[in-house]
Amino acid sequence: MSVVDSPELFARIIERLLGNVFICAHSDEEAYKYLEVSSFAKAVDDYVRRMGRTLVNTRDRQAYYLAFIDVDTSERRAVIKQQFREVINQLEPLVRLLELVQSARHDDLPITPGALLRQGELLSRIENTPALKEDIALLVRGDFFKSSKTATRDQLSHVLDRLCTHGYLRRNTATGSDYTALGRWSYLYEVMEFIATHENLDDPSTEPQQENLL
Amino acid sequence: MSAHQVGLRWLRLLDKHAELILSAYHAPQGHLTETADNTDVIAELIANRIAFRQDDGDGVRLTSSLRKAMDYALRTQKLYVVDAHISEHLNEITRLGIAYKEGRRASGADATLILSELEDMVYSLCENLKESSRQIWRHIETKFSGVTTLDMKLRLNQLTLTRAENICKAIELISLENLYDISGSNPDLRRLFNIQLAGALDYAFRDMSDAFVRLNKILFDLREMQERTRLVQRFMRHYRRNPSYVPQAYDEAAYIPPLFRLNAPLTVGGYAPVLTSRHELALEALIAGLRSEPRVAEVVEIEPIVASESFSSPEVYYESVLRKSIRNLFTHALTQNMPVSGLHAYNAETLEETPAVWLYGILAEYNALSVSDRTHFQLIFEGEYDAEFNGNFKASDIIVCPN
Repeated sequence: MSVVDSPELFARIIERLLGNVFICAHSDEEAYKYLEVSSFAKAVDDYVRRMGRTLVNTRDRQAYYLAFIDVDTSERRAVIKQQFREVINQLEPLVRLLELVQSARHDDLPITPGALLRQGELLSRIENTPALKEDIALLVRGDFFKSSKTATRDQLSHVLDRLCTHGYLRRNTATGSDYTALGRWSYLYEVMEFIATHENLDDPSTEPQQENLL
Repeated sequence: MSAHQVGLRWLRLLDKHAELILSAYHAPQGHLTETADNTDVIAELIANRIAFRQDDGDGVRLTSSLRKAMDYALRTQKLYVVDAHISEHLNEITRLGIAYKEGRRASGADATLILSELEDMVYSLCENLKESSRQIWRHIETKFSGVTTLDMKLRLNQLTLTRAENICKAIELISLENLYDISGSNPDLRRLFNIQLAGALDYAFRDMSDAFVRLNKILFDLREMQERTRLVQRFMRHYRRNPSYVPQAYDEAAYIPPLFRLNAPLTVGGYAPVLTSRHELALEALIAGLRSEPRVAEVVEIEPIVASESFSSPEVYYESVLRKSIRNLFTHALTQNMPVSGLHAYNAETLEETPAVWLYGILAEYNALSVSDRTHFQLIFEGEYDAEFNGNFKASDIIVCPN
């Protein structure tokens, strides 16, 4: 698909970015390819800089989003604080979900942008593994995935819908049960990496080593 | 028994024991399951070099050449080592090339035999290179889907990377000039060395160089996935040991890392952002505050219409002066049986309306006539076409003509 600069596409991209949407190849291929062209990306960045924001790319170049350039006003600081609280509140449930999905997938791979999640395959594995059933039940008791559903099928469906709502997954068809992971996971991994590095989270090199008795 | 008949017998043997051979092919390392019933069969397979008994007493296996042929025919992805034995092949080819040239000087018959063997060898090496390339690219294109776990994918990727690298290095060490010297002006050797073999080596080198780049990219992606898996495990371990763990408040630091300066969503549309989680509580409060109330029925006082049949006074219809004058124009034209100019008639009258209104009045009167009355008149428009927009006709007068 060749990318053509058009006012309509530019406007759509600006509106989506300002709406805090993470643009990736799997959520909006046209917009993503537009931003991959450096001159177009600069045009978008120049535009949003006038509003105190800048266009940011995740390190693996899977997603684009906006961030504030400076934190020079109390209003802006309050907004950033609110956003940060949201990210941190979602962190633990999402990490637990990552572990659950990784255990439930046949290929043992982590969720990455573009990964295909089949609800049927996940459900089959979760239902046949008591530990995973317990994990998902625990997940829906938390605030982020809160649900009163008791059946594993309904709990999984609710969790996947919630991830779609928050921009982590995209349902492949209107009524289907296959989902594609979006670029927002790259941002989450960057947050996790940042925190793990700065807080030395259970770094294997700091684990006490067992020594010989004699 | 002739060689042809030996070959037929061998192929029929494969067909006869196809089930056993295929089961062994799918078994790890091509092992055949020995039972009391198939002892003779296995002995026959060993005698015909379809299988062999291992020296270490680890049972009977299919020969590697048969397994390779079945891999190629069945397009199976397997984890065995891709090994071209390039340098060994080249040494043998070089030796046969020299032997062929000497054979031509001595005996024509020997040379023919050597050439046949040389052709087989060159063909075998070219096919081997192509097959190695095909297998490596099959792994690349499927991203090692033959194995499921991440660790196995990494291992297989590294193995394939080493093989691609080894093939490239082996080809780099080949001296094509040496082969060209051996072939000299001999057409058969030039065909084999200068064209077929040189072409295959060049293609294989470029192909493996491309494969090397792709394999490195896949390796990078797989390692990134591995890092992410370990990251999740680190967090989970930490959560289990510290159930109340909350990350530091980076938003309260003097310098907030750019990663945490996320843009807040701006409402660019005229609708409530129901998908923004920070509005959830507010929206829930709004919904909770709503209660259904029955609508109060509106009381409308209905006044009956007065419809009596007594007509106190008849309605009088007054015709305007303009209309009377226009009707007189039509009557005049009909009685005098001559065309009447609208503007002339206007000038004869004393009217408050403008000539344009007068002319439009003539048009309106004509259109208001019944179909039968309209047949008595014809309207002719005098005027001119616009100089620039010649589709526009500007009428300056209307002539009422009796028919």
